[in-house]
Amino acid sequence: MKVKIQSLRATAVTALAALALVPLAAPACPAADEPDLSRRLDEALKGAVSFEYGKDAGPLELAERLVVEAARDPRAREAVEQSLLRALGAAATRDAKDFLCRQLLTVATARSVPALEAMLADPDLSHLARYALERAEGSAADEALLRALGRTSGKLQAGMLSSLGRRRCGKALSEAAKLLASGDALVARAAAAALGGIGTAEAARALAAARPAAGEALRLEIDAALFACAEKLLAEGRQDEAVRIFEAFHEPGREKHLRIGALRGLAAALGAGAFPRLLEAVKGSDPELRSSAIELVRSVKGRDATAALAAILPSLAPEAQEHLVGALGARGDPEAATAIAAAAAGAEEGVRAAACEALGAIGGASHVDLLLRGASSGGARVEAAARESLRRLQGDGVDRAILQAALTAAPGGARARVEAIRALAARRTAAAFGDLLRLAAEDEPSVRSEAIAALGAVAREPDLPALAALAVRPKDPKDAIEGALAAALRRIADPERRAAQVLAALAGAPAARRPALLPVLGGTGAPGALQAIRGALADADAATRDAAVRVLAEWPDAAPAEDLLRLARTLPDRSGKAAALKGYVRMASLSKEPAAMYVRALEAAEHPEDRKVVLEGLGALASKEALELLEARLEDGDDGVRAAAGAAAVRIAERLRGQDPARTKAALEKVKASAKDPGVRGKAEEALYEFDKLEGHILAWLVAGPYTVKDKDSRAVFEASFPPEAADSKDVKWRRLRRGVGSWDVSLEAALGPLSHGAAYLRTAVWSPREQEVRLELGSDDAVRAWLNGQPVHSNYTNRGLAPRQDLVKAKLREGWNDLLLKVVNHEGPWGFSCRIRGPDGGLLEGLKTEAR
Amino acid sequence: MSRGNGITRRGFLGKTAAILAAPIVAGSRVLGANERITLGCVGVGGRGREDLGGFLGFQEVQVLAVCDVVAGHRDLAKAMVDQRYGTKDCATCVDFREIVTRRGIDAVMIATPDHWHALVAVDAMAHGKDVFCEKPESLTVRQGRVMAAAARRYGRVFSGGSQRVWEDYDWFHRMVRGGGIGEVREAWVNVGGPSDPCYLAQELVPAGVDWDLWLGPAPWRPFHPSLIVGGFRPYRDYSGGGMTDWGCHGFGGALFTCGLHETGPVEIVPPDGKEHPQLTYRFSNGVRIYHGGGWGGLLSFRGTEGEVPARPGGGPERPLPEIHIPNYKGRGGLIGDFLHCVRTRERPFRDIELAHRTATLCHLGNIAYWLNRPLRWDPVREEILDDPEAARWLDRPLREPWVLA
Repeated sequence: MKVKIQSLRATAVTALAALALVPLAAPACPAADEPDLSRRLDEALKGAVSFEYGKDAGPLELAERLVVEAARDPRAREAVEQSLLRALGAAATRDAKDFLCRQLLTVATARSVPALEAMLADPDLSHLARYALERAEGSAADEALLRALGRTSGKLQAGMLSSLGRRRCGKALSEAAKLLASGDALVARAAAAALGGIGTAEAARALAAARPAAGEALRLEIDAALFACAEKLLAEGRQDEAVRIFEAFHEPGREKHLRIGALRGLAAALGAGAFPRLLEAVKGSDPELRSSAIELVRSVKGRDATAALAAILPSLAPEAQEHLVGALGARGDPEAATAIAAAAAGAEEGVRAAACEALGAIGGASHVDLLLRGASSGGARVEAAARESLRRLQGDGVDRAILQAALTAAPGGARARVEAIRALAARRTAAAFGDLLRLAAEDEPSVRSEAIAALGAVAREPDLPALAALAVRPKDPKDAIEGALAAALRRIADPERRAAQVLAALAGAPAARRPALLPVLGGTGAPGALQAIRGALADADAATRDAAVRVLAEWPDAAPAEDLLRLARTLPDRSGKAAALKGYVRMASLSKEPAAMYVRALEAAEHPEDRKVVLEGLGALASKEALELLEARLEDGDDGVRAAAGAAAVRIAERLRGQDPARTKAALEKVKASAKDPGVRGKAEEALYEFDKLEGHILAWLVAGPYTVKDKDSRAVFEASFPPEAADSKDVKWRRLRRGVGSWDVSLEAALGPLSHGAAYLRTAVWSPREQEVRLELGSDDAVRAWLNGQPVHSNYTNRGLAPRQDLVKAKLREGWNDLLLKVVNHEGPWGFSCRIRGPDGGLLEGLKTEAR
Repeated sequence: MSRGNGITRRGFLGKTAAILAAPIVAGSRVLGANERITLGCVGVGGRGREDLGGFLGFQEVQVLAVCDVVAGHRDLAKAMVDQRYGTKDCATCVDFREIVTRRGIDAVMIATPDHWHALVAVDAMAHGKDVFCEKPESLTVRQGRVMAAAARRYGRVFSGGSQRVWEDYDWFHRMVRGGGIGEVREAWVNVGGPSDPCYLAQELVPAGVDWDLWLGPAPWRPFHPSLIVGGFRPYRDYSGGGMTDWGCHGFGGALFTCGLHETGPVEIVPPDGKEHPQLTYRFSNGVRIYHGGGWGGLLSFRGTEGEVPARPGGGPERPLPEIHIPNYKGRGGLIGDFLHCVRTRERPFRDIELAHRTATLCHLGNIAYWLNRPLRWDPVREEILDDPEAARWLDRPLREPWVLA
């Protein structure tokens, strides 16, 4: 997908560059290009006027780009419209007119109307003319469509009605009203739809008048149109007329979905005035009407309505309660809060969860305890809903109430307190910082650890010294205060200001706390912090020194690379040395010149385990230098190091294959020969096999097709002989295969489009320095036939997925050029092939050349 | 070629009504708690049969009929249904109107090419059916609005078809909406590009294919075999290309993650090779969504306090905030959500209004690409501002005799 976007971008940019038009952002000086534009468009259109589907679409594509580029500039646009109209007059084929009408969609004005009107009564061209006219501004298009309405019938007349309705053309009203009585059902229904599009009170009256005599299908269309009229009248503020229509549909006995739609219309038109009807439906026995009415109460305003709905809540079945609670929450009126709070304490989990969720929207401080109970002991659904509501809850005193619950032993015990603290964190209640700091020193471990996490979420910059002080002297050394400090620091944009906070804390920290704080300092990534950490390398305390090494090893960029190399060389302890080396290797991977760094890393790596780390890092590169370094280690004295070097060399070889096949293959052979580890040897053998089996495929082809046989499947297509098989066929349009060509295979699906039960032919010329026996190695999805110099050499009707070398075919090349022809037949799904030529035993052949011709 | 079972091909509008075995009645029926939801499927080619398989996995569903203009598709779909139920009862038809007018069908699944979605969906809803429609739900902005309006007009449940918006990207939703990267400012959506005109050569229409009905409201063109086997997506008459295909997943996910799923952009700028290297959507709150780029595969987000997903070597993944985001109701993913809502009449997760908002964003991107110029958009009135010619592209005229009111 990435490729597609990039190529698209490239196309857009190239198209612009090629057109060399004035940039759209600068329409002030377009006239200079206008004659040139007209000339170029006329030139392109010359190639378009005889277009038929399947012919070269290049002129069309160019013309479309020119039309689009000119469309915003009035003078250029006028010239373009004139050019298109001239071309329309000269167009020799239906397909050319099709193309030109599509271009007129963007630029047509009244100037285009006469030419388009002339096409409206033509059964083949009518819809194309409407394509250009329907979206054009101005009354000229209306007039043309109206005139055509009078002189067409059947489908074409229905088309005019469709366009006039979509244009909301009031002048069409009386004609459309008359056509409601048309004997042609198609026209009558289109007339109803047009009246719905016009949408006036008069249109509605015409529809209502025709309704009693209408048959089933027309009545349905009239009903839809009446609804459309009512909706438009309502949008225009003509409420009474809309209500009259909706009321007629709300009558008992009408189809239920129309009653529901009418109820919605009445709710929209009357607001609270529609509430009695909604309430009646909510209380009623029909579940669909009830559920639909509950959905509708979301939008009807009025606190009295809320109170009335809240009052009936307890009397409903659980499923309806759950639904209504959600709707009451969406209404947002606090009048429902008491009823919803009662539902939140009920027995049904679904109702309780919905109630907890609704309280998030309409609840307040008085519901905090209820929600905390839900969050701490309500079952999964209720807990999730209650937590989210505690986060969302608004209003005076909510933060205070939550904080109070966090500080005191609430009825829910420690779990409720934990939930309260979690809610403060989710709400980012900065004012709670001081209290959370105290809670972070509590004895109860669950409260303490939640409070510490919350400190990280709520702390602002002025709070950081206090948080840092706690990190310096925590209640329990195991408390993860440094994690909270790091989280709070992330919200400060400037790295140096982040670092300053930690440096201040470190200055007063006892030696025992410095190892925990150094990683926080490292996380700031500030240059100043790097200096401080370098200083800590010389600290008197061993644990601090060790922590400093590890922080440097994790540094976000390569700034401390040389420090790490020095440490890897000089540190006395294995563990520190290994950490430093690992860090250095990571930085090598970020470097623009990694190979030199790996060389130094290998020199510094005394222990076999450290050498393995370096070699594994090298394996991530895709360079010949890296391959050479690894090859040198294939003879290492340590078995593990040799295996790691071999495995890394195979990884590189797999990626280098396309760039330097010979070099890569030699390296793989070397790994295979030297590896004692059977796993590594196996990987090298596998890579060699993969290497070989994908090598040397022919990718230059001419293609013809696709070909199909009417009503027949792939077998018949396989058996049929199409023109490319005839030696003297002049009718075949061979074209160079450009799309779908992979590194060894060709996707015909990508080249020609997906196709079931069809065939494509491929041909290429093969030059051989001498007459010789060869082996064609073919892969195909699905069936395949091959001819060499006009003689059939292979035929395999099969249904399979593509893999290299599926069919191995003996053949003989003559000296000089040979013609190779393939027929690849698809059954269904993917479609493609692969082909290469080898010696009779599969070995490489010297001196072969191929050329698509 | 099977001739179908029970329902056969009929003529055009208006002729259908009188000749059906079952009387047509517009209107929904009351579903009992244990009663199966009956389904008719329109468009059962490759993706349609995948959806059909999804519905067949639910005990509470009974598929009654399948419809396709390609005989091979119909036969395969019927075989799936009959095998599932151990009967030979699944009806087949060529013309969708025989599904939408059929009594006893509660819901219609639509997986036709995009240019048919609006017509089938609106007709189904006018007959009282609920609708599950594959993405992209619409071919044009206006068609999407008509579908959303019809769902409300008839009080129907209408679920769009992108399962990925929630199922693939819920991690992003929780991370970003939970404040994990501060306030979200930018998003990158890596999907394919816009569709183009179709100039494929003419071929003979094979037996068993109703080409005129396949085209339906689209401008006429000669038959080409790739179009009927899923190859329609690159072409503008039938689809918005990659922008709307995977775009409905990717942009849908990005909009939901950024909390912009109920609105739209205010400006769309195509790539200009300068300050807008990618197509850029700008929203009134300053958020920008780009087509292409990023580092996170399909989606990437940058906020005031960080980025997700973490870049390679960019430090540890951030902890996932604990936030509950209302999503599917019922059980069984997107289809389960739809079926639950068919019973309860609630709005499904991928309610057509939200699906339409996503598709609209994709269509606007296409218009900006096609016309190669920046667009200003009013997301409330759903109008392109100050550019009437570009506004013409908000809809496409329909070939007769098809109407969409």
